[in-house]
Amino acid sequence: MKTYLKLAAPMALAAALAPVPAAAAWRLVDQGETRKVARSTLVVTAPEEWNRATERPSSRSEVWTQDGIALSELTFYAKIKDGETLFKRRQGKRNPLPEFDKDMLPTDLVEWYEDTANIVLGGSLFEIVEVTPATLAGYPGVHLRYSYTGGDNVARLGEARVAIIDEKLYLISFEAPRLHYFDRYIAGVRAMMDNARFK
Amino acid sequence: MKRLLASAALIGLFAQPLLAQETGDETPEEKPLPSAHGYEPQDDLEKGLWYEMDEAEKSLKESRFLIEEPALNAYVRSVLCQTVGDERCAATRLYLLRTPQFNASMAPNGVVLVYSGLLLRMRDEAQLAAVLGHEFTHFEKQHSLRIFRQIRTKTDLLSWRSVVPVRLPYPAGMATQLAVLGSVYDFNRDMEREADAGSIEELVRAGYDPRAASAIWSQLGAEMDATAEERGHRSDKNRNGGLFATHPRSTDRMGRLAYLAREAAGDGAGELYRGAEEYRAAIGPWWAQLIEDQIALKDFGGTEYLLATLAGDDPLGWTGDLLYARGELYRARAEDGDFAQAADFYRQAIATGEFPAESWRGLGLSLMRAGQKPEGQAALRSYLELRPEAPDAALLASMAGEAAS
Repeated sequence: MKTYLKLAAPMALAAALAPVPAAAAWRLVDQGETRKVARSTLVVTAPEEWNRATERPSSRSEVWTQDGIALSELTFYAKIKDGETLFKRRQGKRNPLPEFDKDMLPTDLVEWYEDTANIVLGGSLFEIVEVTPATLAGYPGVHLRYSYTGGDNVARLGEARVAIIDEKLYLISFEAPRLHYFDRYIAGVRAMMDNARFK
Repeated sequence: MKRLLASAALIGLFAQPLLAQETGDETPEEKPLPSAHGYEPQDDLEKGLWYEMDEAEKSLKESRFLIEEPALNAYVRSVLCQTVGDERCAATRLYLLRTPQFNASMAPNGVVLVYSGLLLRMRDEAQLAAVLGHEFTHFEKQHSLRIFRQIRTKTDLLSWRSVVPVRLPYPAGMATQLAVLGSVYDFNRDMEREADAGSIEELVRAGYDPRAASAIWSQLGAEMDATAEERGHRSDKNRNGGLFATHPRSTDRMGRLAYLAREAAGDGAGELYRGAEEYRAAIGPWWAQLIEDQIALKDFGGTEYLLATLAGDDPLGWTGDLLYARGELYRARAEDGDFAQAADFYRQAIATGEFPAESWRGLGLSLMRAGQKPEGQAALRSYLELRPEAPDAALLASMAGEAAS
């Protein structure tokens, strides 16, 4: 049975390796509220109400949602250090996740994210749609748009803003089903990616 | 939940190495073969198995992992039909799945699953025919049904429900129903021998070179060794995992296949059809995608071995495509010296004159990581001239332009 549970398909990307514990409670993020995310000094201002999970997938990340993470998942990652992986490692030797390297070029960040997704999703249906130069909290970085289909066979769209700041990785990602949910929230998410700053 | 348990049981069922002795011959001659026109399941047990498989097939049809491109489907189907003959071929339904593992399987209801990872690894049409002929023999001899029956006669049903199923290397992205169809049928040794012999017969009848078969197993075993050495774990080649890994891979077996092939081919073996060019032509449009999927697995050892195999262990066999792929592999590993090594492979690819435009991109990025920024930026500009519409063109342009100003 153990292996079967592993077969149980991941749906949203971050939920796949680091599921929010079932016991997680949700707290409201008010419209216009400015708060620190992922135990860092990075702050964002929410243009609309969100729900944040009180349990963190890892000590360096934090998940917000509107309708439950299968339908809208906003994840903040902060202070990921050289040699660390985006998610907690599982099956280290046989199924290693790529490590973040502080010397990565912007394009490497994109490939690193794509490789992580491919391994987590266990398939090859992750496609980068567009990559553009962007800033995060005033630092040069990348904005990427992507699409993928997880094990639940739902087509999703995603966007991520990522930058290396003081040799550490900061990343904000949003994923939601292509049908309805992505379009419903992406404008507000992009606003948060734009207004993210250090406090 | 009930359905979930049933599926899990089924996976476990096919995965369990069955040590039970076969009880006589269950397939008397007068019984219709499942490949016969209009074949129907013969009893409740077989009907149940078919029902499960038909349900799985419905999900399969919806799967986004399906490769639906007509030309590639038509080609693989034509090899299958050429191998087993049009009449028996009509009992099958072929599905190509985009997933980078080396695998193929055939379900009792006639569903043939071919993974794109298998297509990447075959060197010629005869090898593909050998795998398809092997799977078809399992199907026609009803091996999985026989295993199912043997298990059902055991008193303790829970005993097979609780067995540890095989480890499928990257199963997570596949819907669980697909896992039922694609799950490993862990046939016993006699069944494997039967399927090996069957594949040789089919190859000969179809006019393919039967010597194609034995090379496949040695290639795969060596690739698993290479993966394990690089990652520092035990080789999977003798594990119960993956279709080919479960098959006994003893030198005895390879020797036997080679012997059967020599016997079958006779003296005229030199003229038998391998179809290497035809195969390359059919896979060609997909090749870049397939190798990209493979590189994304981050399996450096296995991929390095695979590329050398595809080059035919011949320096002249390293085409622009293969050299580009090797550059990508080294650049992706990103260890000491890898960027310089990668840059070298990209340059070699470009020097062949027939290479993917992305070689310039790889060269530029490798040089930048290796500390040669101006040269790297020049290479990126070469790439952007060839591919101004690339998805990451804006980002590359900003990277290429920094020192130019």
